[in-house]
Amino acid sequence: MADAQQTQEQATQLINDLQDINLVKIAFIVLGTWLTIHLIRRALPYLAERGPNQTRLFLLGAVPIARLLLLALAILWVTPLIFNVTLQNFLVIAGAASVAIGFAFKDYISSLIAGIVAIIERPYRPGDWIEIGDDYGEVCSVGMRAIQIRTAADNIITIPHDTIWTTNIANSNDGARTLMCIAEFYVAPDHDAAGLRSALQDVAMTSAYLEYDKPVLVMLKETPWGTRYQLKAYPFDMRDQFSFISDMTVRGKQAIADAGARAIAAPASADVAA
Amino acid sequence: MDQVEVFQPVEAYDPPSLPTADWLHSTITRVRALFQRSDAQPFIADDRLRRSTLDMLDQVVAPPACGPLIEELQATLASWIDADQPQSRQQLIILPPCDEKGVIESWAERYGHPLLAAPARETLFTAGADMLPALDGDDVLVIPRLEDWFVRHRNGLTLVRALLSRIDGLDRRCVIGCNSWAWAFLSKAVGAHLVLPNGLTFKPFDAPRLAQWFAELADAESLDNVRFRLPDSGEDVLAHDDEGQLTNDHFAALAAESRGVPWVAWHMWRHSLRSTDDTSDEDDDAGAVDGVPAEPGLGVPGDEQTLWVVALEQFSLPSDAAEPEALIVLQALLIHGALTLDQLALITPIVGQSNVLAALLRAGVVHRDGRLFRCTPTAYPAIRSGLHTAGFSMDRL
Repeated sequence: MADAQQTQEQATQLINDLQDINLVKIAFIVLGTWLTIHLIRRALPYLAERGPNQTRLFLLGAVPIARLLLLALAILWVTPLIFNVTLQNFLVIAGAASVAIGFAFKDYISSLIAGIVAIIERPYRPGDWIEIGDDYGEVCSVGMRAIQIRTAADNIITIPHDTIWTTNIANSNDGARTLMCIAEFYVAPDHDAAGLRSALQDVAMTSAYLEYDKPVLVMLKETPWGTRYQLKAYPFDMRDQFSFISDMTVRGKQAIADAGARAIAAPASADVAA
Repeated sequence: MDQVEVFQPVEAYDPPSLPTADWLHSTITRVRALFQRSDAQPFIADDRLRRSTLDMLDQVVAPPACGPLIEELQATLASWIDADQPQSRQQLIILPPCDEKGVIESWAERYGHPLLAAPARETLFTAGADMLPALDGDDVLVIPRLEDWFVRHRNGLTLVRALLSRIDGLDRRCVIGCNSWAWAFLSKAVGAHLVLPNGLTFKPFDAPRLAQWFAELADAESLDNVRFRLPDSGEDVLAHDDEGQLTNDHFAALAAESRGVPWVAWHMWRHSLRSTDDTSDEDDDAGAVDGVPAEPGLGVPGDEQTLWVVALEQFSLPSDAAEPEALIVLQALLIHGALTLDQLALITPIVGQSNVLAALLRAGVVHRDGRLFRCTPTAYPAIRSGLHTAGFSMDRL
């Protein structure tokens, strides 16, 4: 009987009296936070796509940060309205939450925590072009639990944040407005390599997509089936990367033909990556 | 101008800034443009100036559009030309684009310096170093437009490389002109800045310089009765206070909108002028055109020599001209100065048939000069702003 009374007192202390909880105020806080986050998620990407290129990534990257801050603010505001916040109560709540999370929501909570870590460590941001596993695309949203990337084939792929615990993430631009593009050519070995290298350099230099402040490189390597050329350059806007690579490829093939060289294809059985 | 200004290093070029009220207006317009892209109006409203008005413009705002730059260039180069042992045998002059009449050509012709003519652009795709003419001589050689010596094409850089190499070893004074967009490209593509490191350009035309220049143009034809008045207040835009300062911000706004480029300001100034005669037959019902009062009264003198100054309200490209394809074409035109349709097709990565030029012409952003297409000078600030907003590689000026 005494134990039951003690437990009831603890429960009374843990949660404020129902008549003292301002439900209207809580509803306003929750609704206001939700509306503000919704507005930010709509407005900032809209402005980012239509505003200056220089501010695009900044605006896109502000969305998850703003959402995290607003959520934290709302939680900090609502918690004392419901709970009697003391160290003892905090330990009670944390203990109960740990049990629930450990059994029921482990993966979900893991993704949520990974999402917070991702916002702080920034392995990816909205607008970045990343590769996770075999999927390469632009990060179009960073949610609480997962990110969405849009691939070159216009597929939307949802990847939970907790992937960052176990998988390498390749970020092509890492917050910059441009990224390296590579056009590859395979040429039969018997040709003037110096002349072709110079011609391919001019192919990149004269592209309308070229970013002037970044370098242009032509790398070549002998392989068992021919000489592999890699033309590396940066477009002024990473959204043009596929157009840029296509432009360099088309004109690179013309340059190879003009140089008297012969483009070749790797044998079907060959491991190109090697 | 009592004292002739001299050219300054390119790095020192600082375009005039807008007055606060105009800056606010410009900012609001830009923000509004973020939400309204369905602008079907031409960039520059249909030119409502009648022929008679254009004749009058040729009197009160007479060509050339370069103002005092020829004298300033001479003042800049005179000591270098006369020096026995100049520090450098080359002088690079970098100018903003849309200089259709050619400041450097005009200077060379006036002071008797030989010009090196560029080959036809069509030949540059196949040109070799052997096409380069002999450059030897004793007097000052002038290459007025370096942009005429290359094409932004994988086969179009041979001749300009050979020319720069020849200039580098030339034992002769040489003045090389280049537009700022071409220079930015050449610095990247062929390292031109390593051969010609210290470019000069004019001091930007701020409000006092513009006001003085345009006042001199109006006075030059002995048109004493001409007044340039604002339609809303009737204020004379050329009026000065007791301390010699302009009494309104119109020229400050014009200087900022033109980025201090004289030929852009000159064209904007002409486009902003309306005669009172225009108002009577353009729009009788409304009684006003572009804010110009139909009655030449409204508390200000309405004699026939009054020209009304209408502000250019556009700050951004219309939607058709802000498409990526259009911007690529505009950048190509800025780099080369002028191109034919065939040349544009060769140097832009547009796939298939494109109607982008038609849209640019209709928008007034580009104009046709025979077979050549050029950017319209009045549209240059908006084009530059559009390219900057889209993230294109930019010029320095």
